[in-house]
Amino acid sequence: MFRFLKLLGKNLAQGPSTDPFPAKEAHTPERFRGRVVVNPEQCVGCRICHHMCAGGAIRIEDNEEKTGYNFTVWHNTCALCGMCRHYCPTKAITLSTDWHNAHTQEDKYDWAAHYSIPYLACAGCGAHIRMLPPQLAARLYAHSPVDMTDLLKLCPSCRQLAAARREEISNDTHEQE
Amino acid sequence: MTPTNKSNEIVHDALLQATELATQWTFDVKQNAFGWLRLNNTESLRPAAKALAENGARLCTMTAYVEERGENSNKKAIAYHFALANTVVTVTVPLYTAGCDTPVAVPSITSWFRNADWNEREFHEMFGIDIVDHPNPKRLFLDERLDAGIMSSLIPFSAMVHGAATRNLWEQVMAAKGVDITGSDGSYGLENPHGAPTDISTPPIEEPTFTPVSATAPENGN
Repeated sequence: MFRFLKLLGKNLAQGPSTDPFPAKEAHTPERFRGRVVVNPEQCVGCRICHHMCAGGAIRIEDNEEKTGYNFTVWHNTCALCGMCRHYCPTKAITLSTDWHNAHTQEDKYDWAAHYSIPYLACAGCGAHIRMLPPQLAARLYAHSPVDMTDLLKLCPSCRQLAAARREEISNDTHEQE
Repeated sequence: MTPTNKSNEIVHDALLQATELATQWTFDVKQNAFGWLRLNNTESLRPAAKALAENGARLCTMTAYVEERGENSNKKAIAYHFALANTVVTVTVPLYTAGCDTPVAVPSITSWFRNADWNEREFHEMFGIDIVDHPNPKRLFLDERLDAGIMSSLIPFSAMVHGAATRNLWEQVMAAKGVDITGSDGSYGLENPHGAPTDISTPPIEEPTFTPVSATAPENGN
């Protein structure tokens, strides 16, 4: 009996062990895989997320004007596996800690995130491109002595030519010195 | 390729004599042999099963499957997986004939391999495959009031969860946003740049300008 009263007293002093959800927000681990969030600035449209998505939850398609593309994530069929985040080369996709996905049946088709991502014109040839994200460029040109910042606005073909030309000029300058 | 040891050779010859078909042999990286025999018709199954039983083969399991992908395909086949002393032989029996997908009946091999009983009854019950001369053709699970082949009339789980099956659902999702994709072929600009000139031999690279085609503010539907 004494043991029971001791345990009771201890539990009363400690308070409840469970979160008082929904009166108060429940604790969510930092690494919880919640709703998918896309950073349109970082997306280059490589489509690897679409390829990897087991649930077919990602749709990427040109807009009507062909000036950009629409990136849609339908949360309703997303399995929160995180493969899109894992394979995204620019880290444009993250999984938030938001797990509040309860919704009514009539809202199921609205339960999607729509992003409109514009194309940019290549400064060299005018082709429609997405700008190379700086962190990806930093990895590509990690060992180059030449400043490559403005090459981000070129398409891959123009960028390759421009980078080669700059490397050549840089090497010539070093040799002359 | 030919079998590499004596016991496989014996089975190879026995099957050749029984079915007039040569077993194909494949080998993995550790040189384990696998025998593959595809019969021309269901009647060849009896002599093949008899030859295997007489040479000490055991029946591991049987697999019924549709050989050709597609919603309307009905080209069924059964793969019988036999274990010999140190190898596996798979005998495949197509249940269709040229120009006719309707499954033909297949003889029972339960008289040679008792464990075939379960699989054969299951195939009849779930997929509507008729088994000839089965010693105990009773149902396993389904109530007698249900039609045989009930599994074939349902949507395969793999098709149900596959992304390709969400095309109709995607039309609803995009319609909720006001976008009609019913006639869309899913074309996508970055794989086929619109109006991109092919001549890029002398691009003006020294002072590039940064020109948005038509800046549209990113919109988040959350």
